[in-house]
Order: sequence, then C-alpha cells, then structure tokens
Amino acid sequence: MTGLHRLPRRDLEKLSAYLDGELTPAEAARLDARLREEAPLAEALAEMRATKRALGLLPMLRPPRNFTLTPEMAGIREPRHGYPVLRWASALATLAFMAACGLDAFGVLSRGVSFGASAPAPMAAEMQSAVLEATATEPANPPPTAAAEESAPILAEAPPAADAFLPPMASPEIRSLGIAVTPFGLGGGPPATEGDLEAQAVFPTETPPSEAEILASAAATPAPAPLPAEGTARAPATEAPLSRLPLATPRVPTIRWAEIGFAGAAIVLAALSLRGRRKR
Amino acid sequence: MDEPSLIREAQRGDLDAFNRLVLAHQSQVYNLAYRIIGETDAASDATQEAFLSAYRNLRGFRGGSFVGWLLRIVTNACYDELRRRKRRPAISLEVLTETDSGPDEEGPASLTSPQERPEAAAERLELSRAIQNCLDHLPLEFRTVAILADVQGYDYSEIAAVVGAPLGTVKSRLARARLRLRDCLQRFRELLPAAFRLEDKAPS
Repeated sequence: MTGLHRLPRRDLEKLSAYLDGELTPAEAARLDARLREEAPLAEALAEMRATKRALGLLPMLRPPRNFTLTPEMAGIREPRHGYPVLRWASALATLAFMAACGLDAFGVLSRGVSFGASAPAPMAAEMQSAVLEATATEPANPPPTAAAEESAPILAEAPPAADAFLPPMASPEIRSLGIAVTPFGLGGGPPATEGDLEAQAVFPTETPPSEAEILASAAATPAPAPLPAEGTARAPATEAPLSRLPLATPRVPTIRWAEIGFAGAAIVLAALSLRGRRKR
Repeated sequence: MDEPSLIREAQRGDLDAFNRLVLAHQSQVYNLAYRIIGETDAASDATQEAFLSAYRNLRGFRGGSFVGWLLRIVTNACYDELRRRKRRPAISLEVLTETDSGPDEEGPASLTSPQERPEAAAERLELSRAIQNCLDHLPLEFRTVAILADVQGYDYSEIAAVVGAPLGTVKSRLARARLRLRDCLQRFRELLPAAFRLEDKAPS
C-alpha cells in the first residue's frame, strides 16, 4: 500500500490540484503547512508528482497524414460550366414540349381534319389525282388567248407530254422555255384554276416520296393520246398563276418547323437535365 | 491571417481557411485521439471524422477556445468509436499481425532522434508503450482527463470545457486517475528514468 492509498479522497484531490497550481492561495498555504508536518502527505505528493512527470514523457506523435478536407468530403459541389442555364433545363424542356403540343393542336384546328399534318403525302396524292380527274372529264375548250397562240411555236419544240409532266418545282431552265411545269392543263384539260394552284401550292416544296412516285409512274406510263397542239398551246396560261406561288406561302410548314424546333429543344433539354442529375 | 479571421472565413464556407485551421491543430487533435483509443488507424478515422463534423457544425461555434472545441468533438468521436467496439468486439488484422512489441505508431522512427543511442531509443519506446498500456486500462472518463492534463498540459477549466463536466468533477477524476496510474506504473518502474522512478517510500 502506497502513501496515496492511505490518503482520504479529499486530501488526494487537494494534492492533485496543488500539483497543478489549481488551489487558491489560501488553500495552497494551508496545504503547505500540512506537508511540512505530515510525512505521509508529503510522500503521497511525491508519488503523484512522479506519476504526472512520467505521463509527461509521452511524446507528441506526428500525425500519419494531413486531415484537411476536400470539397467532396465537405459536400461542396463545384458549379459546373453553364449551370445557370442547365438548372432550368427541366422547366425549359417542359415549356418547349407544351409549345410543340400547342402548335400541333393549333395546326390541326386551323387546317381541319383533311389537312392534318400527320399525313401530307397521301393528301398530296389525292390532290393530284383529283385535279387530274377534273382535267380529264372536262371537255377541251381551248381559251383562244393571244398569249397561248404566241407561245405555240415555242411549245412545239417542247418535249413530249410525258416530259412536260414534271414536278411543280421543275428546274428553272425548263420553266424558262415556257413549258407547263404543272399537271394542270395537260391532256387537253383546261388551264389550272386559281383554286387548284393554291391547293397545289400547299405542298410546293415538300414533295413527299409518295407524290414523287406518283409523278414518276405517271411519266413512265405512255401518254394516252398525242397531245393536240392546241392543248399544249394552253399551257402557258399557267405561267401567270405560277408567278403567284410565292404569295401563297404555306403556313403549315412554318408551324411544322416550329413544332420540330420546340420538340427538339424539349428532347435536348430533357437529356441535359437527366445527365446533370446523374452526375450529382 | 489570425485564427479568429480564419474561423470567420471558414464559417462563411471558405474551405481553404478551414483547412489552415486543420493544419494548425491536427497534431493536438490526433494525439488526443491516439492516446484515448490507442490505435493508429482508429485514431486517424476519429480525427478525420472530428474535422468533418467540425466543418459541418462550424456555424455553431460561438467563440472561446477553438482548439478546445475541436478537442471536445474528437473526444466524442473517440467515445463513439470505443462504444462501437464494446458492442461489437473484434480483433483487427493489424493487431494479429503485430509482434509483441506493440503497434508501429510509437516505433523507433517516431520516438527517436538520429543522435540517440539504440539502447536509449529502445528504452524510451518501452516506456511509452508501458504508459500507454496503463492509460488504456483506465476508465474512459479518467483516461481523457489524465491525457488532457498530464500529456497535453491543459488546465482544469479547459479540460472541463472539453469533457463537458464541472470543474469539481474534473478535479476528482484527475486525482483518481493519477492514483490508478501510479499503481500501474509501479509494474514498469525499471523502465522509468531514475528521476521519475516511483518509490514505495517517500523521499526523505
């Protein structure tokens, strides 16, 4: 049994605090007086001091590594380039999608069911066939216009009727020759009315494959009858309506392009939004 | 930049400022963790966890001793680790592969200087391990107070702030810790230098 074990607990705490200089001056003075008189107390103090000094022998260890934090550890996300735009990608994608749907609905309502944008090629074929039927059934009543008669010599040099059956937007060289570039007025039919031309102008540039096939098949089939001179002479009458084609600028393709644009934007923004979420 | 400025910057989210505080105090924090737990890897984990927790809760620091605040966090991290071990005791591979001489943390490289004789270095190493062994056998509350007072040299009020206990409790725990340590160190008295040797009889 050491001197420390023989001490009352209160004395033990006083000795410990005395070693650390944690007693008040009055308490320290009283303990000093006791230490001079009580040998066991002084012995206990020496033991406690040796213990304290022994613990002080433990060295300060060098940390095995640095403990600094990385942004990932701290939960800090570096702002990515273009983040201010991408943070709204979801909302923009939704708006673009809604705009595309709205334009689509508007287009359907404005054009009616028969002008639905979903099937332009069959409708074009129907329009062509309807016009051809109309020209075939009507009797030939050549309009004796002076312009037609003047253009007759030129048309005489024109290629056969099959060649004249060209797509509406034929090459400018052909059109400069004064050749009828539309099916109207062919086969002795009357010249195209303004309504017909407008109906045709609905699909002037977007000649769908089905329409091309129709035109190609029509060209491949032999001409039903030799074209009368007067029939070809009426063809130039179509030049005047043709010149008005740009005025009948189609509205549907514009809306269609807007729809495509908005739908594309919606897809791209949605993809960017998903990519951004996956990276987080 | 002084410490209060670094703390303010870090509280605004400046990670660089916080990392400068880490570099300034990591040695004290790690040493406390190592002396409480007694293992290098676990002490490193507790230290890292403490700094991470400190960064996340930095806005809650209301002034006073910043290092004391850090030491309190790492002390709690060490307590959590030791409680976890108590619930699920396991022997680490590191311990199984060690020789009887103990862990490598306090090996010759970390304790000796190039000028020290090999014999003296070995004696110092033995002594350090003996003292650490005595600390490891103390109750956790006693151990922390003894380390803070006698190994790291903090005063009672700082220790009270770190352990979150009244001053009287700190005083009592430290006295009892020293009594137990004295008994433990008696078994290693031949390792202690003569000036530090504990005698059964008080010096005359």
